[in-house]
Amino acid sequence: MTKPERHDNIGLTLLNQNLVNICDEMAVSMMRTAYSPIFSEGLDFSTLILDEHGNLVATAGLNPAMLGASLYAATWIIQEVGAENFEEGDIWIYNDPYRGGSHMPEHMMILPIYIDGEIVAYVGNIAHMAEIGGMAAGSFSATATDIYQEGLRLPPVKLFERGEPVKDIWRIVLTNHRTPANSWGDLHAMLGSLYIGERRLRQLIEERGVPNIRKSFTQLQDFAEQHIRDEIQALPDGVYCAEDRFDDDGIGNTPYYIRLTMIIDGDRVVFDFTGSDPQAAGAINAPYVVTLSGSLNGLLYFLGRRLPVNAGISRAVRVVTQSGTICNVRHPGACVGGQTEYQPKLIEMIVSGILSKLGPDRATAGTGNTSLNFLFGGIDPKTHEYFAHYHFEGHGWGGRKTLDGNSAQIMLHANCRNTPVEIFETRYPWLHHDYSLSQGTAGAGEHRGGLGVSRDIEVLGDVITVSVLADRGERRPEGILGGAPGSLTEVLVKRAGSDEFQDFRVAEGSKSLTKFVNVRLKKGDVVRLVSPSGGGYGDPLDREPALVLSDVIDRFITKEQALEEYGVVITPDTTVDLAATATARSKRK
Amino acid sequence: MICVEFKKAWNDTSVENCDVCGNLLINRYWEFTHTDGRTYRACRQDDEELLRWLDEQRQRPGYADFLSLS
Amino acid sequence: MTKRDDRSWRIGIDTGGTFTDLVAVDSSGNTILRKVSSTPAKPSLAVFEALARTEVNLDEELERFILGTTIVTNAVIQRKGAETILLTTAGFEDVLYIQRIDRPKMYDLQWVKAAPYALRRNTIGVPGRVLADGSIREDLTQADLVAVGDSIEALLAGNADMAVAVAFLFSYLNDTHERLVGDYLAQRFPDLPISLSCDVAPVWREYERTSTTVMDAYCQRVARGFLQEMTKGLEDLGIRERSALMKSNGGQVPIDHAASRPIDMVLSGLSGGMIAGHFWSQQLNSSRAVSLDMGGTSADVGVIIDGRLGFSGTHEIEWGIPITIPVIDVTTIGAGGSSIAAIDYGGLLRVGPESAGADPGPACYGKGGVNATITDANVVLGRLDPSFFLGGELSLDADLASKAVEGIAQELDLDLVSTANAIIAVAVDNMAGAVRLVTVDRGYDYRDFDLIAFGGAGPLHAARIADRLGMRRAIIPPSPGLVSAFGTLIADERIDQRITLVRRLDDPSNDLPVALAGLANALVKSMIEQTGADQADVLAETSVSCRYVGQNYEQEVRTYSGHLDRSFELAISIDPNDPSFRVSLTEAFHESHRRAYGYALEDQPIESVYLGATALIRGNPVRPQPYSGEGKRTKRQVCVDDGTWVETDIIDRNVLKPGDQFAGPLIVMEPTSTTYVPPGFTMQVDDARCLVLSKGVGE
Repeated sequence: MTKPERHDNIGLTLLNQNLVNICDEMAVSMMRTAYSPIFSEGLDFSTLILDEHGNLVATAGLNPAMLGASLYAATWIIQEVGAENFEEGDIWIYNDPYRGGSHMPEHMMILPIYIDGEIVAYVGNIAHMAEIGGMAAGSFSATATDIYQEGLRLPPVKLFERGEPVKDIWRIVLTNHRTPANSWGDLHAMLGSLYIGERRLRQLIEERGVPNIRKSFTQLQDFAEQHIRDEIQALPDGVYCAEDRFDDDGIGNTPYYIRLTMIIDGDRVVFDFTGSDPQAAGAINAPYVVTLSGSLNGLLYFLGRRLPVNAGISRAVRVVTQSGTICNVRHPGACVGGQTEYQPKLIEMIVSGILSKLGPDRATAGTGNTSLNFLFGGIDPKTHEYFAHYHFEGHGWGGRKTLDGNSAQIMLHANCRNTPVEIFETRYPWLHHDYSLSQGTAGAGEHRGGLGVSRDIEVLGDVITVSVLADRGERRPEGILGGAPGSLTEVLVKRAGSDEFQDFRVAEGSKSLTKFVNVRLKKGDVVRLVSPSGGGYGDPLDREPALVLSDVIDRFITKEQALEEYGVVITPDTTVDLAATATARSKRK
Repeated sequence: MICVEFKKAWNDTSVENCDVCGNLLINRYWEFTHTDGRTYRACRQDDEELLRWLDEQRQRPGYADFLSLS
Repeated sequence: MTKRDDRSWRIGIDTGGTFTDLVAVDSSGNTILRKVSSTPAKPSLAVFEALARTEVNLDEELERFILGTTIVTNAVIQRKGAETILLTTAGFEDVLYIQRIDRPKMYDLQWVKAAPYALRRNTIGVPGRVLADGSIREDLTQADLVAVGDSIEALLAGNADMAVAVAFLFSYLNDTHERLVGDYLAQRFPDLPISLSCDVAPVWREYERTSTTVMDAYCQRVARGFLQEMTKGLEDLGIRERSALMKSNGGQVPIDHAASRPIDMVLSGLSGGMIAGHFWSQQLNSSRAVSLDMGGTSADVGVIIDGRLGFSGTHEIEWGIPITIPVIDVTTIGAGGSSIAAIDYGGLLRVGPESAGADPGPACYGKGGVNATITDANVVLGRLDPSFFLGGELSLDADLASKAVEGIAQELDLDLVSTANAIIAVAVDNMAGAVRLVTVDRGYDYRDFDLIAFGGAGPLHAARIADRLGMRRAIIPPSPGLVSAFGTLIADERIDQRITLVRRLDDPSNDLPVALAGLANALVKSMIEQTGADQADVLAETSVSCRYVGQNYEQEVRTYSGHLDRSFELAISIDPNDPSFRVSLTEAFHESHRRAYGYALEDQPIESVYLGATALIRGNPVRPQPYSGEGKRTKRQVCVDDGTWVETDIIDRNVLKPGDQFAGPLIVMEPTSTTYVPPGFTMQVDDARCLVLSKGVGE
């Protein structure tokens, strides 16, 4: 490729802004009209402008988890269907993880834009629908052992044909989802956003002319490619390895390993996953596109700068996996958890595992790093209507070179909001006893990990069926450069009348601590969800005593922890005893 | 290396994957025999080169040097 | 004793970071403009200095004085408020730390979550629990109250100057526990400022409500101190009872009533601009307009739809720190005269949001700034006269401007002039993007809108922004740099309230009309108490925000508007006995959804989420006459948009008369701003002496 002339840059900058603005308009419309809270409050969607081949040109509202699908999925679909089989007014939809989907709840739509009978571009979007059928309410079946248990799978099919709804497809979709009114609303939110995008993009194409637009689309991609290649070139060539594991797959008792060797080779990066475990029986597998997504997201975090996100960046990267492994699930393997549990692990392997060797100033210690997907459904005792909800938790970030980890944050690969307690309880028959930071659990370090959260909720309805898909129940987020590890995920239950919280293995005989489906809870039962706190960065004995004191005063740690973990002696009147601290620390160094 | 075009029947909704990187094979693949004697079906023309390059890389010290987490 | 009729002058003051602006207008339009340096350490000084420099005999001739102030804004942004104690429902003490768990940027590992305004060490969990239906599951006992009081006493022992915020779960449905605590604490600690969430922001979402309440408590002492200073000075001038403050909702409040809810003053300083934008849109019969107030560091964008100024239920202090009270709907972007141009990775030109501020300011200020700014680019292009910036108060150094822009030019491999043009082009596109989003976000097409541009830097770019989006006209009001100050003196007296009430519209027994009428009545009553006005002068407006059951965002539907004791003037009756209410509201919601998003789901149920009500007394509009008729016309070389230099007419705005018409290129000068009319544009002077810029040749 040739480097674009610098004087083109102003025009390209403006065009890029225009395209991103259109994607923003599409995103606003979708956010404000969607039904699934994960989609509207959680902002779990992306809006896309694609060139005539389906290559990504611009995006907004991008949930990083969808980066892979945004970059690749449309091109694959267009090749498979054949652009010659599209017609003006068609809208295609699909969610098949074996051909570009990240996991089945995420649906992608694309709409071709024809000018004078030829496709010039596509507008598209991807959104997470909260309920698509399958073996468990909320469509997050931790113990699914094949894809057919995970909900309704759509290969690329037409939702609209020449401007008319394909009613047979609509009826199949709405029949197979547990909450069809929600799906009806969500699908309309996606359609509304496509139509807005189409209108604006047509206007822009008319202003600029088709040849100009085609040329600019290419230039924008070349530009992004050049850009990321320059950034990669600046990194030292070398071979870097990282490894992480799942506690289990929800079916058996053995851990599953993800193994990555990352090769920086001039101006490209190759991610080689050879050596990773074979495909699991359970739902923690990743489709190839999720491995692409995690690799690229890790790299973008790694580069740490705001690069233009379009198809150009993917050209600087190769991702090598074997089909039939945990990194590249093969039919009929289950894979709903790949997107929410595997992808963040992969990103963390890069930003913590590899970056702590390559660029420790920019690295973070291990983050809590599980979505802690908590699904439930039942009949509302007041309205007698069926409800289902997909819930997730924030967790603690790892400590950083000069900063403590942030507390209660969504995972690195997503950017969703939590559901406020007042909305949660208004919509669903649960009562919160608390929703708080998980005190005393941060991984100690010169800069400590951020805190996870703890939530106790009591069943108010007669029966609620709950499912969990999480991880980090057995292996704590790592500390780096001398920092201590963070804390574990806990999913516990206290049956009505009992005083004791038990894990679901003990209480319900589930195989896994963090993965089970369809447990029936009754009125008065209390569930406790605790998300992990992050690991520490650097030696805790080097932590500024004033910061330790401040954490004691704010009750993030106890005085005892100050001494045990940090070697800081706090006096009864809550000041630092500097002399005693120096002595305590020197003994332990 | 040969390029093979293929088209699935409309009622066949299965997918095939690349033997080198695991990507989808859509409408065509490149077929070549690698030094290990195996025949590979690849999604891209340059995958033969990539595979050879990876073989070299995999000899480098530190390659696939995992911690063996407990 | 002077009769009230002789009191014909109204004075508005707007305190900015650098200057404090004063506009005085009498009932015949006579206008006095004053600009004095701001006194950030004690803002009241500049206010009294400006007042002293008018020739108006305040005691005898002043009808009303209204102040827009940034005192609360600055306390909040600079975190200089009181250390705040937060009382929450037990178990939910960390609400300010948990926030909403998202983040502003995707790929930034060094990002730091916004620090809470009340610390965990100062947070106390209080027993008592209200459920989602408003019922009480667990009581708050007398013993609990005493225990809370004891904890507060212990905290006050360390710092007596604290304030207390109380925000319990579901208090927007049932405020019993908050009031119990509020009453108890008021009795036990008579001087302690206390803010209750059921008063400040009775809306759902506990994080947003708590954040708002804490912010209110946090500002109480600052606001009290400032108001005491002001009240004393105004008392000495004999005009205390005729003085008012601007509120965040664009209304004014008598200064004696301003202390009760300091959070209402958080946008006091910028609502004047929005009010004036609305005023000028009305003067020009423009029913759809976007106002753009572009000053030194940022641009504030407001929107007028169907002749009405936009309002919003929420505003962000910084990313992640929301306040949910009725405010003027304003979007601020980092584009002002001092916004810095920089080269992004790989050669993309970026302008803002970083700003050189007032100090050092743009390179051409000669105060040590080296970064190229929008102002520097305008100097390079000859659009700003270096010797007549701010009417000559500040002289600009053209060489320094060129030098700074040259730095960017080298990186871009472009010549100086093309670079300056590029900087302007990118800045224009940023602002166009903001205009686009504020209209689209509300479901409207920007091509149906006029652009009303003011502030020191707005008129330089207005034509290009309007052109970029295909908007109808660009309108430059008189004295653009003082428009915000002018806005304060025409503001309405206004009280707003927004509450959460979730009810399905298909439930015939719902209590929406009763609740709406009750809310409106209560506000009208407060307005009468506060102002002593006749009920006949007080207008009431109501609205219901609805959505399809299952959606998470609402569309506001206006319902009743008018005088409560006369026949209503608009749309939907809220008479509890009128059966058409549900049907009309349902239809209006479908229609508003269809207009905004292109479709309606007519078979889906709808629910209300918020009820809004407003009581207001209209301000008296006046037309200022700031232009003397005397001035000169000159010519100089100005670089127009295609990069060519053209000998261009430079006209003093003083000489322009209604009906005048000119073709661009043209520069109009006045002390507070400079208007640039590009080639291909026509400028007309309308009856109100606004400059109306439109593309093409005029009649």
